[in-house]
Amino acid sequence: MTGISRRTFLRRTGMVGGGLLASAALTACGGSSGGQAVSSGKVDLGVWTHDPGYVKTFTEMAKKLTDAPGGKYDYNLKFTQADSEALVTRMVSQGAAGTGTPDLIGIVISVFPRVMNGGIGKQLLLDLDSTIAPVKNDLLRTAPYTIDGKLYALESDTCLSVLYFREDEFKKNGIPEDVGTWEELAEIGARLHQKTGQSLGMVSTGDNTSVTNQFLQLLLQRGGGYYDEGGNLILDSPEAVEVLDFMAKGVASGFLISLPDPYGAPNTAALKNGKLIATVMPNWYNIYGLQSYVPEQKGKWRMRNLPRFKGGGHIASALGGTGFAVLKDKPGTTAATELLRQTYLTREGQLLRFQKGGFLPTLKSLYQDQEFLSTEDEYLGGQRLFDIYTPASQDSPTFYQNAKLNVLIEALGGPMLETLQGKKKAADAIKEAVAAYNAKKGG
Amino acid sequence: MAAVTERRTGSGAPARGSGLTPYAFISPFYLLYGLFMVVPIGVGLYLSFTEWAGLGTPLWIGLDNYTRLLDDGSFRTAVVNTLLYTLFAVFVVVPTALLVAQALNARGLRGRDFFRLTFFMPVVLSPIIIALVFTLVYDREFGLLNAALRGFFGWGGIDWLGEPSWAKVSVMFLVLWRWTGYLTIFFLAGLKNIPRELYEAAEIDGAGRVRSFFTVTVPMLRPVTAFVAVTVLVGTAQILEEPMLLTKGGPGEATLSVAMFIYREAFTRQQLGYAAAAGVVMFVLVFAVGRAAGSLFGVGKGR
Amino acid sequence: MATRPAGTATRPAAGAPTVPAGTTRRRRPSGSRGLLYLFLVALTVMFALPLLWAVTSSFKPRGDIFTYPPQPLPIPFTLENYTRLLETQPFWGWFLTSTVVAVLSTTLSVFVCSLAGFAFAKYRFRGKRMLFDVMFSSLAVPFAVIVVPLFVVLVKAGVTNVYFSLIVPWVAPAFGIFMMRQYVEQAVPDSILEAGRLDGASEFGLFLRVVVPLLRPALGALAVWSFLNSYNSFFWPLIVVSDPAQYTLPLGIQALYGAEGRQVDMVLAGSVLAAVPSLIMFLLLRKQLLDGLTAGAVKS
Repeated sequence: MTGISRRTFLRRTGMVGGGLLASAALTACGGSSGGQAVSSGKVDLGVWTHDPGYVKTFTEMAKKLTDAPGGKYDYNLKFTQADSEALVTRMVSQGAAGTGTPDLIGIVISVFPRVMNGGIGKQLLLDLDSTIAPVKNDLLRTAPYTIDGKLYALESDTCLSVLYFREDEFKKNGIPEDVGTWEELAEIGARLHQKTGQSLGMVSTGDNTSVTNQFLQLLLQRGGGYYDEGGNLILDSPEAVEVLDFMAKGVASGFLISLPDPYGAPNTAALKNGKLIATVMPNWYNIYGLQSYVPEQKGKWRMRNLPRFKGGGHIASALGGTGFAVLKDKPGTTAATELLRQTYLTREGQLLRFQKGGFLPTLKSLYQDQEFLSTEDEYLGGQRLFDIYTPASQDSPTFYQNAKLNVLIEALGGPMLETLQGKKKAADAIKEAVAAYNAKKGG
Repeated sequence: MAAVTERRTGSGAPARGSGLTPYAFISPFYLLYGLFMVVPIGVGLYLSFTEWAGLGTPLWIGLDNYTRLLDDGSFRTAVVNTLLYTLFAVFVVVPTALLVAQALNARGLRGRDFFRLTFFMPVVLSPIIIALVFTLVYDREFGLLNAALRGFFGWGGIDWLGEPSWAKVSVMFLVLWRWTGYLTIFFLAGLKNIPRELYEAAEIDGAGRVRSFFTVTVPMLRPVTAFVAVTVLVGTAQILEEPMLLTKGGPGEATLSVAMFIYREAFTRQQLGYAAAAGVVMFVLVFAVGRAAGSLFGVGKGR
Repeated sequence: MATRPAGTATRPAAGAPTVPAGTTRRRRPSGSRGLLYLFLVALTVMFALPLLWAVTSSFKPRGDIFTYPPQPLPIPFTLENYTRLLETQPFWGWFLTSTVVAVLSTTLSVFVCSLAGFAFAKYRFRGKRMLFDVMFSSLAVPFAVIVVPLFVVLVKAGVTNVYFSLIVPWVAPAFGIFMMRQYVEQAVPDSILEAGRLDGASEFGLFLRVVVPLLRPALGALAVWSFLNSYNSFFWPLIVVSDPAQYTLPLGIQALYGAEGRQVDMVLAGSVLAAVPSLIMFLLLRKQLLDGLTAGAVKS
C-alpha cells in the first residue's frame, strides 16, 4: 500500500511546492481574473445566494430571457447555496486568490458591512449607478448598500415591519385592533399580562445581534438610527434612550416577553401556547416565522401598521434584507447585470420575485399596481396585504450602514440586555455603549 | 511503580541501526509542514504588522495592532474567559473522563458496548442540532433545566444564558457534555495497555480498588494522561465552537473566547491584520503554556 | 522472540500467580455495582437524549418540532423531511464527499502518525527536541489566521481538486503524532524492540510487526479522532469547496439552516443521516478499541 500511494503523494506535493514559490506575494492579489467579456450568446453565470427563493426566481427569469424572441443571452446559471456569512467569506478569499468569484451574489444586509471595509466592495463589485439610473427615483431602498455615495447592490426585499396580532385573542380580551400609539398599547398590554399572563410583543435577550435587532426596528420607527448618511454615529440621542426605556418598562410590566430571538424553540413555544399574541416583525416573518412555526394558527393572525410613538416617527420600520451585487470585470459581468436588471427593475421581474419568493416590490410605483393590490393572504385570514404594505412603503425610515456596524452591535448588546433585565438605566446603557464603541472601533 | 515507567522509557533507545530511519519516519509531517504551513504562518506573522481587510495590498503599520490589543477590553475579557474554560477542561473534564473510562473498564461490566456508544454520541451530533437542543435546555422561561428545577425544588428562575456568570457555567457544562465521553476513548485505549498482572499483583498485596487505582493505573497511564491533558489544554485554549453555538459570546461579551475574538475580527469585521496579531499572541501563550504543561508531565523527558 | 510473555522480565509483578478472573468478580460487593450502573445509566440519558430528540423530531412535521412542552414521540409521523431533503438537495453528494474524505484521511493519517510517533518515542536522533517542538507548536497555530493565506497558496499552486485540498494538507496532524508518541511510550517496552532487532528485523518491519499490534487500541482511538476531525470540519471545506454538489455534510447542513426560513425540518433529517457514518465507524473500530493486546500477552 505504502509504496504506490507514497510515490503518488510525493509527486503531487512536489507539484504544489513549485507553485508555492510563486505564491509568496499575497499583496499582488485582488480583483478578478479578466477574460473575454461575453456580449451575447451562451453565458455561464455563477450565482451565490443563501436562500432557495432566489434560486427559483433567477432560474425562472433566466429561462424567460433565454427563450424570449431576440433574447441576447443564452443563460446557464450555476447556483451555490450557503449561509450568508459563508458566501462573503468565500467571495473575499476567492477574490484574494484571484479566481473563482461568482458573477452574481446576494449579500444579506447584516453582512454587507464586511464589504464596506478596506475597499472590498469597490475592488470586487460593480457600481450599479448607471444600471438604476432610469428608475432611480422609483427605488425604495438604496442606502444600506451604498458605499461612498455609490450603489453596489440592489435590495431584494423591502422588509416592511408590521404588527402581527392574534385576531381571536384580541377579540376575546377586548383589545381594539386600531390602538393609535405604542404608549396606549403598552398600557393595555400591562393590564392584559396581569390578567392572563399574555404579552403583546417580545424583546430578544439572546445574542447581541438579536438583542439589538429588536431595538433597531423600533428605533428606526421612532425616527432615530445608528448612523447618519455621512456615517457618523447618532446613537447618542433622546430617541434611542426613549425606545430602550420603553422596551425595558414593557418587559417589567409584562407587556413584552423576553425570548432569546424571534425564531427558535422558546419563541415557538410562546407562540404555540398563546403567551405571545402580537409581535412586530417584517413582512417575511409571515412566511418564515408564523407559517412555519405555528401553521395550526392559520386564519387567526392578522397584521396592521405599527402604532405610532407619541413623540413622532413613522408607521413602519424595517429589519433584514438582501442586496444582490454583480462582480465586476468578469466575462459575465454585462450578462449578469442584465439578468439582475430584468429581475429587479422591471414590473414583470418584480411580480415574478413576489410569486416565487414572496419578496415585496422594491419599486415605489408597484405599491399602486392592481395585481399586487389584489393579493390576499390565506394565513392572515384572507387579508389584503397591500392595504397595509402600501401605506407602510410610503412612510418607512431609512437605515444607514457602516463598516464598523458589528463593533457597535457588540458594544451595545451587553448594556442593552442589562437594561432589559432591569439592572441598568436606559440612558446609562446608551452612554456606555457609545463610549465602548468609540474606544474599540479602531482606525 | 516509578521505577517501571523509568525503565520503559528511559534507557535502551537504540543508538545503533537508526541512522536516517527516524528522519524518514517523521518526514511526512515536515514535508507537509514545509509545503502548506510555513508560507501561511509567515504570511500570518507579516499580516500582524499590517492593516488588511482581506483584499488588496496590506498596509504596514508596525506594532500598532499589538499596542491596540493591549488596550482592547474585549481581548482582555476573551483571555480571562479562555483561561477559565481551559482550567475547567483540564481540571474537571479530563478527570471526569478518566473516571468514566475507569467505570467503563470495570471487569464483567454488562452493556459496555452500549454505554460506550451512547457516550460517544455528543460528538457525532451536528453543531446546529446541539445549539437547538441546548436552547431548549437552558431557556429561562421555557427551558427544561429550569422546568426540572421547578419540579424538584419549586424554584427555577435562573437565566442560564442571560446572566454573565451563569452563561460561563453553561458554556463549561456544554464542554463537559460534549467532550467527556469522547475523551474516555483515549483513556480506555490507555487502560487496555496496562497488563492485568499488575492489578492482580496489587490485589495480592492487599490493595483495594482505590489504592490500586493510584499505585497501578495512575502511574501506568501517565503518558496517556499527559497526552490527553496537554492536548485538551491546547485545544480548549483555542475554544471556538461551544460559546459560538450557545451564546455567540454573550451576554455582552461575557463568554467571548480568544479564538472567537480572532474569528470575529477576521471574518465579521474584515480586520485580518488585527486578527493576525491576536493570533500571534494566542499562539505564543498557548505554545508556552502547552510546552510547560508537557514538561510538567515529563513529555520527552530524558530524550 | 521468546514464547513466554515478553514484557514480564521488566516487571516486578511477573512472578505473581494469576488470580482467576471469576474469583475477583464474585468478590465485589453488589452495592457498588449498583452505583456503577446507576452512574452509567445517568450518563447515558444525558449523552444520548439530544440525539434521540433529533431522531424523533426528524419524523415530525415542521410545525410540531418545537411543541411545548416537548413531545417525545413523533405523532403524527412523517417521512416528508427525509424525502424532501433527498429530493431537493444533492445530499448523497455531500455524504459521499464527507465519507470518502474522512476514510482516506483516516487511513493515511493513522499510518503517518503512528510511524512518526514511534520514531519520536523510541529513537535518539540529532535535532529531535527541536523537531518535536516545531511539530508540537503547530497545534497552537490559530487556524483563522492561516486559512486565507493557505487557500491562496493552494490556488496559486494550481490545486483545484477538492479531495486533494481537503485531505492532503491535514494527513500528518501533530495531534496524532503526539498521541502516538505517548502511547508508544506507554505500551511498547524497549526490550521487545531489542529482541526484535536481535532477530534481524528491519526497523520498518519492527514497526509493522511489533509496534502496530501493541498499539491496536491506540490506533483505534486515533482513527476515531481522525475520522471525526475530518468528518466534522467546517471552516476549511467552507473556503475550498464552492460546488454545492461537492459540499461536505457540515457545509450542506449549514446551508440548509442558513436559508431565510431556517429549514430546521431538513436540517434535522440531514443531521440524523450524517451521524450514521460516524456511529458505524465507531462500531467497526469497537473490537480494535476493546481488544487491546498488552505487551505482556504478545507472542511471536
